[in-house]
Amino acid sequence: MSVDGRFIYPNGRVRALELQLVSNRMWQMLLSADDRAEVIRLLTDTWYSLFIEQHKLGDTFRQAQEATEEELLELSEDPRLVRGLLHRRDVRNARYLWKAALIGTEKDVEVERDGLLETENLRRAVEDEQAREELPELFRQTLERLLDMEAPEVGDVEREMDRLAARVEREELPELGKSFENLVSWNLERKNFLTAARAQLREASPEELEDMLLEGGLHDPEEVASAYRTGRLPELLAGGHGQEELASALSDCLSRGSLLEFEKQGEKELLDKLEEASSHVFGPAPLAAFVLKRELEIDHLRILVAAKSAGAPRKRIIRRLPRG
Amino acid sequence: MALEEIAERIARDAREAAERIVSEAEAEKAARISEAKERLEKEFERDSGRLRDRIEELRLRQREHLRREADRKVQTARSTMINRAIDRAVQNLVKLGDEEYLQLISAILARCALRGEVEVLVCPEDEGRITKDFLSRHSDQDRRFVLSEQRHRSVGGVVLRAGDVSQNATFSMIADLAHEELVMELAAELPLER
Repeated sequence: MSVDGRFIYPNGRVRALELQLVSNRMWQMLLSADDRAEVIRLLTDTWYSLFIEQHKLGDTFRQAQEATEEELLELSEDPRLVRGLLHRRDVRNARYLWKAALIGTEKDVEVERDGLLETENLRRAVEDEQAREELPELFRQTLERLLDMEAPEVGDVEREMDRLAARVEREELPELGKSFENLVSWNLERKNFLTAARAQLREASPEELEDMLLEGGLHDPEEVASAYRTGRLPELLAGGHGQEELASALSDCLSRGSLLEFEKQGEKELLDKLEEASSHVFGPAPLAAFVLKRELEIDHLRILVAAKSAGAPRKRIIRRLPRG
Repeated sequence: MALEEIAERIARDAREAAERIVSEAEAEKAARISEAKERLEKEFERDSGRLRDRIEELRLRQREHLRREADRKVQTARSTMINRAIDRAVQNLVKLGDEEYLQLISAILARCALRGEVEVLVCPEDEGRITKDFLSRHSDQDRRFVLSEQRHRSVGGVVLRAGDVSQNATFSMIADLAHEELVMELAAELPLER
């Protein structure tokens, strides 16, 4: 077996960077915080303090995400990692810009640093056919579909952009190694079942659901839609891919009418899979896994802050967050 | 040397010594004054610097306090608005016609996870709507709903009780839980836009 030594140093550094992730003890304290203000105060004792200005969260999480990506891109110039990370950023920038242009929310949209595509090109592509032609095919097709819509609504734009994000992940991340290939499919599967479960609780029609499902999961969207029609979502999820525990959580949640614990179980398993990907030290997987761990941590912090702002008690929040 | 000369010389030497002493004393006095002035000026500079720093610190602290107070007020106002909207929604549910209202109660009973004899507590306003007959229509072989003599004090909905286990399915509780859940769902779904 050949061993790629280029990643030994960056992966060693990533091990050290992982110490910056919020510790279990800190999560316990955050979960027990009295309110939003106390959460922010506690966060000033963590790595996030670099981005918190005058005890206000403001742009903290976005800056934290950007800083994490930049740090890893400096650590390794592996083209697979660079493409994987930067194209995901392109999707986010395209989402901000195109949504604003098509829905007409804001004139001056703030975007992240350029990814592989210049944000100015993404901005111009809405109006300028030549700029559109210069976009990578996936981006161009998405924008053309959006432009073909008559008076698109926020949901339409978000749906198309979710599809683009999923396609980019399916195309870029599997190059980072086998563990990532499995992780991408598994994650899309989890998202599709979450969408289907939400649709079931809101009594959406199967046609509406089909329109929301993403390609690339362990089951085809048609299979998921068919299970939705027959009320057998947990059975399909359990079938053959070692997801019995997640399927059991789905079944319980559907009967209770609340998906908090299904989301928690899914993200707990995602964290386990990222941990597993971190162990492949002779490739770029640990670096990408670190970025995804940070993203998940940021998502969890946002949920925590929102829940504390809404006055949700600790016991409700721990039903949702696989932390502490 | 004549005595007068000796006396004059002594007097001159004494004058010169006195003048030297006076001049040294003057020089020392000037040096001390200058030293004291310099020290006082330094102390003044240091004290006024400290004072300036303290004033600035107090100003910043006060500004921070005001900002936090304003944030707290915004948060409170926001929660008050949301709570008011939830209360209004609950009141609207309670004002529904009997048929629609009982459909909601039926949905709650259908989701009841308790088994065996389940005591159903209603609010005083619902005494005429949620009756023994209505509850028995929703009973089956696993679960028998029995109207309790006790009443709950919340608005609309029911509290279900089987032995020591109870489920609060009053509208205000359901609305609070739904609100918290929606907040957590949206927080995760919304992109990191400014």
